[in-house]
Amino acid sequence: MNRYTKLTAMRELSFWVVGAIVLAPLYVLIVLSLKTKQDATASPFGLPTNPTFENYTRAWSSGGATGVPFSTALFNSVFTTVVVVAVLIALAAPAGYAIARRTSRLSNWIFALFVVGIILPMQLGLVPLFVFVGRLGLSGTRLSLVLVYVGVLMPLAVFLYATFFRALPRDYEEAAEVDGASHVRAFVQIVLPLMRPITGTVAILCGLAVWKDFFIPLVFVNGTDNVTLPVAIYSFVGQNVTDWNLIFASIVIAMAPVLIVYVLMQRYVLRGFVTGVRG
Amino acid sequence: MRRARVPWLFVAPALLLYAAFYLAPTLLGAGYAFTDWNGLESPSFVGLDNFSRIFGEAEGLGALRHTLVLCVLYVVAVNVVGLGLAVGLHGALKTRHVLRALFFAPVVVSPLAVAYVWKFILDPEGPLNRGLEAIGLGTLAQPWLGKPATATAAVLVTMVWQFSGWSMVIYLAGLQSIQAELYEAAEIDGAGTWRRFVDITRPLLLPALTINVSLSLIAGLMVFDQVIALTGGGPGTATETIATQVYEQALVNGRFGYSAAMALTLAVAVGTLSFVQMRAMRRQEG
Repeated sequence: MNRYTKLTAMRELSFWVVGAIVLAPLYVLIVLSLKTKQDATASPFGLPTNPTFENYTRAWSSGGATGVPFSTALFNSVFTTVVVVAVLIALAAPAGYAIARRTSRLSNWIFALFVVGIILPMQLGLVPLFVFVGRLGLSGTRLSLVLVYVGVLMPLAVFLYATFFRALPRDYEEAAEVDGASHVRAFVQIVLPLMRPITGTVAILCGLAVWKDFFIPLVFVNGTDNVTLPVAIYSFVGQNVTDWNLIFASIVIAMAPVLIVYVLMQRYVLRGFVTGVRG
Repeated sequence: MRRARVPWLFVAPALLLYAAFYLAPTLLGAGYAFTDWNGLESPSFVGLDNFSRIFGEAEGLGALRHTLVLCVLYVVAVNVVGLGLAVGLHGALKTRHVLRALFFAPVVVSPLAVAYVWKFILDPEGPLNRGLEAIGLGTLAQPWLGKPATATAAVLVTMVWQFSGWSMVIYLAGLQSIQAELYEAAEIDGAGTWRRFVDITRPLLLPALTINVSLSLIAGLMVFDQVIALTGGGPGTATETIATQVYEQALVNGRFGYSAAMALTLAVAVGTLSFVQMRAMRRQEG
């Protein structure tokens, strides 16, 4: 049924044309980031005649008049993403486990309460959350960013874990408990090693959500030294409106880490996105 | 033997953080939608005033309309492209794995950064206009982001370019769940390509379609990053959306009550759609 014919070859070729369209903006991005401003005005499309890393060094060490350097923004992004994902896994896994193993009506209600949070748009809680963070004395801090992300992404993480544990047979844990192990011990020794695939999904979906997000850091840490990459790019563009070479170098700094991770773990990322939406 | 139950303590920390930093503020926000709060004085109840302003004045109505138009166009475009890519890459192509990975790649990067790249491409002096001139179509060159219709199209193209790969992956998963025997049996019974698509592919692809439509609807309703980067809501207010208004009214103009009402409108729209979708999926699963 799946023979490779001339027609298939034609189809293959036409998909590579589409692929070229997908790649074109990335080509523009990288080529321009390696050119000086003069070189770019002279030939915007061609490969750089005289590739320079000057744009990168400038973006890396200075963020313009009031902005933060991209080295700092990169650190903030990595820090926030890693801490949020770690906290989510540590708290959502046991929560999802308990919800899945208790079958009372209360457990169903708690599950529903979390599911509501997946659907609600974050914007609705924006102002009260902003005021609340201010009252706690955390305005503009990294901690505020972490707490808001943990709150906003907790429903998705708990939902994924609960659905996973519901489908996981209880036999192993029950055997351990018959042998006298406590719930905590059964969870740590038996359940933890089994939940690696779903933890991967949670880490990929939540990690990318934090890394890519612009709205929450714009509201909570804009104007401080704690901004993550998207906000740093936003302020940078504001100050260097027409200096596209410099802007593109900063965008490459922001995209490179996540694209490298994607290329290395492409299979897991695709699988994560599919399990994530299927639930 | 009756086993001891998993203690609720396992849920407590997750529930506490979720309630404090998301659920409670969200409920409060819904309440503020019915007040004139400006963040300085204490809020007073104004009933449906904010909503009559949203639905009665050009500013609010415009944001609703732009969001709706953008959303409908986005749902159609991203699903058509996504399904096309999935059907093409499900099967015989030798390089299908590389192509899939390539088409999905834009999904993982920041939408804001992507939108800035497109802003440059669409700049009056940018690659698109230069390219058109180079191939003798200079008359088509125009300030793409300077006119309402083309500015809306620019936001749309940027979103479709970035997220078609995600739609594709969901459709591919749907296609892969269909067993090859079904097609073989149909072929033996004399069903042609079209017949097989209508009677086998279409009904079995329905779950993937439902997921894709609802995901793209929600993404379309919440569009923010692309508008901020590409047009800043302009030209004039031609591309202001619900999400950009929620942000600007609250953090720029200090109209917290109005902003909350806008956000509540968005939440009701998203909530209704999600509910309808869940019902539909449950019905399909029988």
